[in-house]
Amino acid sequence: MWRACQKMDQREAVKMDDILNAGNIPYVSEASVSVEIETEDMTLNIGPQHPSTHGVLRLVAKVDGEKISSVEPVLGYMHRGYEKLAEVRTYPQITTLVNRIDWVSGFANEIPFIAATEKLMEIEAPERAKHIRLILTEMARIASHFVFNGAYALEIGALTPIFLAMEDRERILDLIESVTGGRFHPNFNRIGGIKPAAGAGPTTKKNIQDLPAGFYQETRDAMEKVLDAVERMEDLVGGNEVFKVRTKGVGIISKELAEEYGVSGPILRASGVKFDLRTQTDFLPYDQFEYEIPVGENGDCYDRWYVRLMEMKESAKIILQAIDSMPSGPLQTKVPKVIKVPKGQSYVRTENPKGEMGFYVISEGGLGPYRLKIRTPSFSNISILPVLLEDQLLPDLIAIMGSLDFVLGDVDR
Amino acid sequence: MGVVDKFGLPKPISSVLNWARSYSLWYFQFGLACCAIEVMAVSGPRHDFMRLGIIPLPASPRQADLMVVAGTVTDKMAPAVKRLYDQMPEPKYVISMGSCSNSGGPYWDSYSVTKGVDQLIPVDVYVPGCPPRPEALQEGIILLQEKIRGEDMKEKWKADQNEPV
Amino acid sequence: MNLSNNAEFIESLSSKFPNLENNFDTLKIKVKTSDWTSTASMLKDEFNLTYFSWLSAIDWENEVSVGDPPKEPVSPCFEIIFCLSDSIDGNVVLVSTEIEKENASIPSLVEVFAGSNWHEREAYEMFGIEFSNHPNLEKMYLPDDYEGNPMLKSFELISREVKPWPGEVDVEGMPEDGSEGGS
Repeated sequence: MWRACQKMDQREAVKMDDILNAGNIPYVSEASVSVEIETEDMTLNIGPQHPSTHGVLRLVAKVDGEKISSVEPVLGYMHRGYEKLAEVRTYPQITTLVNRIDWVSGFANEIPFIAATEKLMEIEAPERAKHIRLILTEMARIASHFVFNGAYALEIGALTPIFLAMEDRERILDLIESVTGGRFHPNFNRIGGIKPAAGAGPTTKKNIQDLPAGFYQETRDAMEKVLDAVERMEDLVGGNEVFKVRTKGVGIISKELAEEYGVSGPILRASGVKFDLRTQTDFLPYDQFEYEIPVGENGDCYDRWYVRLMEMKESAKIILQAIDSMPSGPLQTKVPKVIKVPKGQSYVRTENPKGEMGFYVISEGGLGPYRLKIRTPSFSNISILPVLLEDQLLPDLIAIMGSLDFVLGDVDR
Repeated sequence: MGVVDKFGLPKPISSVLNWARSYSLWYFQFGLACCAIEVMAVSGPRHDFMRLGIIPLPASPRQADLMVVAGTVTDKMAPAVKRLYDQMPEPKYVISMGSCSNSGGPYWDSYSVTKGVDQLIPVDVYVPGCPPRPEALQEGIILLQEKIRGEDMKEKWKADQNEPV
Repeated sequence: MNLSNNAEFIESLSSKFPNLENNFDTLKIKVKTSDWTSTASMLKDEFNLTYFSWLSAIDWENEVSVGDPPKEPVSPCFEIIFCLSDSIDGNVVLVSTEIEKENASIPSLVEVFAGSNWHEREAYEMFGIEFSNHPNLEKMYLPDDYEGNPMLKSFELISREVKPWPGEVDVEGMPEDGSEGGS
């Protein structure tokens, strides 16, 4: 048996030698000839229910192996008809509805609508109301960016940051709840000011409720913890080799592409354009505080993540300054009980955490607007996906979509 | 399950099985809208639903036995919801979370919203709120667990519809 | 008050477009339909408004099935509006034109601003307006077998017909008759 095997080995060896040394078979190197195999592109449906599409977005992708040849987003799975509903509601009722457009940052959605309506009525909110609105808007911005940080790291593959981010976010939501009564759909703005805050006890004439007791100290503690959390995230997530390799140089958006398609917010700033709508409007008193505007260099996924992280730090600084300089005064100017806005048209845009949000209110003097056009940031942000995702790899698709930070309520309205 | 249909299970066995099933629910990730953010908060460290036994979050419906419909169901999404429900293996439970999936919610008069997910699939527990607080969702899960513990397997395999809580 | 829209910009714009309106801090220009694309390219090249914000339409109608009709009678038409801005100074301008309702059609802005692609699809679906030269004009939000254009003023909301809204229900007065600003 052993001999038989040896003989077989020898015979095999001779055969191999023959093949390798035979002169009539040309030596083929890998570099000179590529074997052409005909393949068809496969249509991959990254369907509405998927753990990492931020909601119900459907992408119909034509892929060739792992390389994408074209992507077509299919929208409309969350289309609730806001613009039509706004025509049958009165102005105070629309404030309730508008909270739910960008559902991660609730309070920041009400601000442009209230601004447009107050402009048409030609009234101005008192100073204290404006300061409180600013504080709540910045808190909403921090809460929204916490969700982004946790969810983006989860999509890249890290399981820890989302738990840290959710815990830090709970502290901010506790603060918002102690003032307004709601976690992230507060419905706190009234035309002409804000609602008497939910402090403690009933709202009676003699005892107008205001910010709850201990609010300032709790906010200071929470903001210190936010600054700590930002440093921790920068080390934990940004120092990770896998994260850096997956996000640096991936999904570069140039400045011209961004402006052509109407991309706004942190994405535009990460591509090198230093433009922040907070410096352009004085509906909220941003000009009384000092803050920086973080700008990125390359426009890749890492820059977008980094810009949002730094924005959280700036927001915490603004809130600390605002608390120290809070004016006193009434919370709402006198408005009639039944609000009728005079005839006119007005467009106001402000800086939502996701980008630029604008409301175009056309009023014909009725109880509700004649037409309300809502300009949402995520709708324009996703419109670059077909252009941006050509010739990318499938795992990069997940990283790019996560870094655009869109919310389906914004896209579909 | 011919044996269960004909003879039913004796009390000790069925109570052990029900207890086991109620404390090991696998919940299928199906967040549609704002209530999904509340579900993320419930799974966070502060209000934790892992202590109720809902540990893994499978992304595929074929491995899950609890579906929490969190958010607005539109007419375009409705066939997908029905299909996902059909893909779940028995025994399966549905919690309808938030007022949008209970009855249409603030969009009750919209032209493209399904007024309540119970028009498509049978619902076991309704959790009201817009969005419901994390504690409310936890109470909904505990009510569902009590319902499971009191279940009779013979009735369940025979019955066509569930009574909502 | 918007700090953008500085005075020089408004002056140079109003010298080119004499019918510029500036109400409630909103600059609006009305142009003819034949100048639609040329106005867009001129604003992009000469006035540096390279940022495309949005495009939409308004349905002006005297008999409406939802909400309140306009205060004074209007001639029924579609008003198409788009909004441009720039990302250095923050100037923002609205440009509008009016077209008829029968066979509503207008040239597309896709060659000037590529971002108007999706906005025009939305206007097509919601109002039924045709955009000529558009690469793929098809439905976006609604299911494939949906009939009708929802944003038209003649489109009814069926749920409201079946079960009408009970109206303004006044809440009970506050315990000690406090009513600062209502709620």
